[in-house]
Amino acid sequence: MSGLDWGVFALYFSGVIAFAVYHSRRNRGVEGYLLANRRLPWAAIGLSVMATQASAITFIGTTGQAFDDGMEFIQFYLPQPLAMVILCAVFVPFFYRLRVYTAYEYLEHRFDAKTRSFASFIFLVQRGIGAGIILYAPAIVLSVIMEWDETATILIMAVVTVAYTLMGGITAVVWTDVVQMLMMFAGIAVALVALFAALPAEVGVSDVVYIGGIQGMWSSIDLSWDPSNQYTIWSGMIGGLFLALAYFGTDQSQVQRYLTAKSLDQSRLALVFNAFFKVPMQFFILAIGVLLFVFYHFERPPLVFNPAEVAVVEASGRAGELAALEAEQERVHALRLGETVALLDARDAGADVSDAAGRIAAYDAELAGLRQDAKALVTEVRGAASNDVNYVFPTYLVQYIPAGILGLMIAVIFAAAMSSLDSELTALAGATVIDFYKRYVRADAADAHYLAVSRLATLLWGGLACGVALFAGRLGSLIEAVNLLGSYFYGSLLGVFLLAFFVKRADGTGAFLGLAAGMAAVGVVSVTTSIAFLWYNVVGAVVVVAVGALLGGVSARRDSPA
Amino acid sequence: MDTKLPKEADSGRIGIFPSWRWLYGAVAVYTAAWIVVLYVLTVTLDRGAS
Repeated sequence: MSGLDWGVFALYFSGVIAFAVYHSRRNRGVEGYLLANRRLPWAAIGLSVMATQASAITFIGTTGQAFDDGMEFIQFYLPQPLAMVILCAVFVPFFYRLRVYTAYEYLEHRFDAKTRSFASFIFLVQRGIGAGIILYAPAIVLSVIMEWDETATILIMAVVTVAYTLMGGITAVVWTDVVQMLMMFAGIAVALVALFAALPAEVGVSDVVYIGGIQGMWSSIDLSWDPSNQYTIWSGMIGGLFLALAYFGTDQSQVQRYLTAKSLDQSRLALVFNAFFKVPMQFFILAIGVLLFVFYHFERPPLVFNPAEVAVVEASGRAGELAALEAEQERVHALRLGETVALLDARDAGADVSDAAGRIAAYDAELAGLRQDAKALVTEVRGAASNDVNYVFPTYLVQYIPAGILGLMIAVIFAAAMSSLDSELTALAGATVIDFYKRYVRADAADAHYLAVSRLATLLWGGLACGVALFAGRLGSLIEAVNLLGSYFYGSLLGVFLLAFFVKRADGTGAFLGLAAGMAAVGVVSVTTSIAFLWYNVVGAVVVVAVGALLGGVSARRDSPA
Repeated sequence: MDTKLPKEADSGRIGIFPSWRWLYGAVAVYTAAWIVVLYVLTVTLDRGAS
């Protein structure tokens, strides 16, 4: 990194801290710390909702995924606007009317304390782990780019995030999220422009589209009905809808955002804002990955993008095998480059290019096969799966992005991570204090006491996130890891809220047992079938509602007069 | 028990939309439009390695 890059990077950190300090002045008491005294405007909340979901994992993992598999991941995001409508119409009014601090408080109003505590506990476990994974992603980037120690990087980022969260609570979090989200928009635009600029001068937009299309990289909609396929329109629109409802409607890290609004309408507008902007944002993030794929037609990419994995193989007795694969990749890449240039010339001349496209497709497939072979070799040598996909975009940044812009892009990746982590920390602290400490330990303390305990909880969750982050490297693609983790719990959490909203006869015991049954069902399905993880959300929700309704019906019959 | 939706769920004008229902409808149309556009992109841009 150049001095200019460091300057941009330092500007980001100092700006975020100054912004957090400025916006935390008016916070009062625990309601100020956890809910900003319910006075934030919808636009700020809307950007914070987006920033919370878009972590560095989104930025790094999704681009890498699109580099390998194209745009198909967009299907996962397509139901989100519909989920926002359902949330606005059903979920938000319930939460807002009761003026709850956490989503799980509603469950005690509707059912009982054990159901509330169970749901809140699930959230704490899931997001406590999730916060660690969120923290780990930028550490990968820095371990590649600056050769920083991963542990030190995790600690530096966590300390800054915890510091401004402790200082200003959710007010500081939301307003820094606004800046961080705007930085992410800028980062996406800069990355796209920089990638176009890095292509040979004679390569135009239509050429980029054509080359990507040869390998089907622009294919966004898969209509096939295959439950084991991770990304089809059906798993996206159905499984993804359930996941989005669960994430935005029952995950405290999101619910807490729209509870900070001045009014019910302001809460809803924040979600509608997300409904309109989320899909285009993901489209452009994925497009960065496809552009990378096209870019590497003209520059030879690494066979394995993770330098640490390459080093492990090179230090083993199988270094020769990797060298042989790299030599073959160099040969095939040169052939593909020649064929690509010839194809572009032929297109300019208006000649038929279908034969050339066929040959390029064959080279694409050969190179993809070599990459898979290399990753399999890494996996064998390491004894753990390669997570190379998360290194694709960072590797491009460090090798090709000009000075100054590199600093900006690193700051953007940091912003993405910190804007998610800060939200998790306030949500985790809120659920810990409101759902457990105030509910079971000390119900009638002074406001200042709960504020102090909330700050302590923020600190402890920040420490735990650091601990989890140190183990995150053993996971595969981080983006899938977080979604996979969520899918084990989210469907069941959603199910208990649906039960509360729509099944009048459901009672606390039915909801509690239904929640347990939902998670057990997801566990059984994940072990015994090969269905894609997005469907786990449907399974969990349906089982909870079915079991809860059934047990509620039994109780109703038992309690009714003869 | 708390299972009744608040009455204010569909009241008031929201920007250019006469009510929340109209805004929700716009979001549904917007979603459908994205699916159609992406499907058209898939069909027209995917050269299927053929």
